Amino acid sequence: MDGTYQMLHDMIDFHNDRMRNLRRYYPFFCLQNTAFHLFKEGKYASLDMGYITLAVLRFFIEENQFNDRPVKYQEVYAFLAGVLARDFELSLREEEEKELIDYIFDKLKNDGKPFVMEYFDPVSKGKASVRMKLIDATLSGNTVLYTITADAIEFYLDTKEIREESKINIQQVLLEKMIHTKNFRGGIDVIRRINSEVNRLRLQKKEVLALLGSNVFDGVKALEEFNRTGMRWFSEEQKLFSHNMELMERARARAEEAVPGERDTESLREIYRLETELKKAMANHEELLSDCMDLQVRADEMIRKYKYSRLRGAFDFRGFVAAAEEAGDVTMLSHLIEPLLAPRLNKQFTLLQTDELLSPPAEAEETKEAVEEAKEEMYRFDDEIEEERISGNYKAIVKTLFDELWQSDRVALSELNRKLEMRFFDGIFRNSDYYSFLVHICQKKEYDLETVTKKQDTFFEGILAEILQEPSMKKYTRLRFKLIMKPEAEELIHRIAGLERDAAFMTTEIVFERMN
Amino acid sequence: MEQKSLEKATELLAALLIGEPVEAHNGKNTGLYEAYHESVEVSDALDLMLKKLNLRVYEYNYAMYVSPGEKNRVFGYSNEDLKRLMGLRLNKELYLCYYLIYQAAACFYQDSATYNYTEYIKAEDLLEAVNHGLSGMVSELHRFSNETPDEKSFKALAAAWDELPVIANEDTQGTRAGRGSKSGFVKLVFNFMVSQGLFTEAGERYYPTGRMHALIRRYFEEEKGRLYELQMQRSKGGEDGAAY
Repeated sequence: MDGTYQMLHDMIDFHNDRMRNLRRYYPFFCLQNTAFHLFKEGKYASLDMGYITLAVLRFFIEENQFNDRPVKYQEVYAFLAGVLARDFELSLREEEEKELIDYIFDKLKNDGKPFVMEYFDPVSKGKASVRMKLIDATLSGNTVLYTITADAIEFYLDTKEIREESKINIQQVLLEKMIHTKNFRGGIDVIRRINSEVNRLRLQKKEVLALLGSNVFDGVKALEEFNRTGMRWFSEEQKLFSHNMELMERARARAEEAVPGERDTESLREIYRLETELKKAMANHEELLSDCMDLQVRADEMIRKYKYSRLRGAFDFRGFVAAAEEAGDVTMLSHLIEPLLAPRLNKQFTLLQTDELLSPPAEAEETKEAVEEAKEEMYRFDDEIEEERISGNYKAIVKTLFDELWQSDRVALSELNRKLEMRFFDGIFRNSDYYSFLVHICQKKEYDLETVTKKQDTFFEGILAEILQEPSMKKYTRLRFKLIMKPEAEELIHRIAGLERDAAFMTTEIVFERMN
Repeated sequence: MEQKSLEKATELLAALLIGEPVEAHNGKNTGLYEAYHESVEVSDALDLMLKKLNLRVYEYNYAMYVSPGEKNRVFGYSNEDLKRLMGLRLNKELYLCYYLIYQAAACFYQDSATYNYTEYIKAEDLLEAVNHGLSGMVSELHRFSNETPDEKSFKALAAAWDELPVIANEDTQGTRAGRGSKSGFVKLVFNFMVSQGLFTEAGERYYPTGRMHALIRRYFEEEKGRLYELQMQRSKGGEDGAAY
């Protein structure tokens, strides 16, 4: 049970710490995956971003930490050009080279944004994110100066050097071993790493001081952290330094004691170099110590000043903003800014907008406004659709009637119905057009189709004229017929399948009689 | 009250509102400045008009400056007005500009009574000051951050600042005001402050104007009680978790 609890505790409570440590590696793998095959159609797919990243970080450490100066764009450019030519054996034209180097450097800077790693936080059961930048930029005059971040230095050292709370101690132990095994050349490398660690701590000290200047509370927190991780190792480090110095002196004495002919001049030279480097490192370390003392004094001074300024009768801007920060309400800043503005008089075109006017990229030539050719659409109204249906149905009925009249002189409606039923099945008797056809045709007693083609008296005649226009119907134009109504008794009952007896349709019997 | 005094007071109000210098020793409004100080009627009339319009006048170094104060519905700006004026789109960009203005003022004044005798600042000074001011929050964001900070929190502001590149384009000479980079924002804010009569520019150096000194010294001196009360309220609100 205890074991399970311990496991869950490790899984959940320490997850954030683990992710925070992992974030240092995140930018590297993001960059490693940078697809060169997407850039310029894969022309530079052979380049390895992982190698380039580590090389650039080493270059920054060299310049920022060892030579103690920031790096300009031109220097990064020259360095990267060297890497591309030497390690990847690329020979490029000037524009191509510039384009490629800019692409690589933008990727390393992540276009000025931090790399954001998102992960699941099991404590809050939600998403959390950590951020990390490899290269920072500051503006000096009109030039941008680039520096490596403390996180990036830590990442670089993590990749090979052992990580501990005080790296200096580990390096010292390593140095001791190297002196014992007479590997003086390796010792020089170790001392260089010690120097870089010392420089990193000095950089961190500067950051703490800057933080104290802007926000005392955050600054005090950072100072405590700095004391906890960096300063408490000092006495031990000093001891190891003197111990190593002693070892060095012994090694030198032993080498010098040797008979002149048997002296190994090469290793003697290396011992001298190592000794000088070690002395430099000790001087650096002492400077760091005095820096840290200075930091403590200045921090105390700043805290005192801050306390004093809070007691004065003046309005303290920093205190007000610190309170706003604590409350997490940025809108409180408006209390400070609004009174400073000039009275707003009217809405006017501000000259500031002219900058905006110039900022959108200009097109090479003006593009015409595209005018699409609109298709003329045919609208069919509901009544037109009805009319079409009616005339179609009438045509079918009229054609059947004329066919019958063409063959015999008299046609009764009952006969016509049979024919219609044969052609269109009994569904026709459910069609309202059939009944309206009967109503329309009964409007006149006689029809002379030749006259109808010339002059139409009724709506039905209009439709007839249209039907007669068709070539297959032309022959019927000679037809003349009349309608004879049968008495009421002779009623026709249309029984339609599916309809109940009472719901049958009834019509009067009509006889169509040909007159010619 | 004499008609003439009222006329003078109105003229003075108009000059102050349109931002003309009203100074004792030079400028066309010297007469008005003198009238205000010599005639009780003129000063009473102006004070009354200002009070009714919710405006305040501050004097510094023999010159008069007007301020609309806070939440002035006639002469103050809404967020939308300010965004339009500065060419911004989002509220968080406006808050970032507020913060930049605050930092620019803090380069000269630690508090309303302590002028640190800085003569001028340059764009890079302000950029550096903002970097320092937000560095605590940025490093906190780098260590650990929740998914999306509230739009109105300082963390959102720090994240917005952190995500901007220092300059938009490596090749361009000089910086242009814009929303695409840190230096673009700095330039934008400086241009705005110059247009508001808070700074004057000479060779990319920004000098605070008499108006800036007057407002910072006098306005905040006068309003400190109210602002402290507000500050305490907010701090308490933060502790209790109550929303104001």
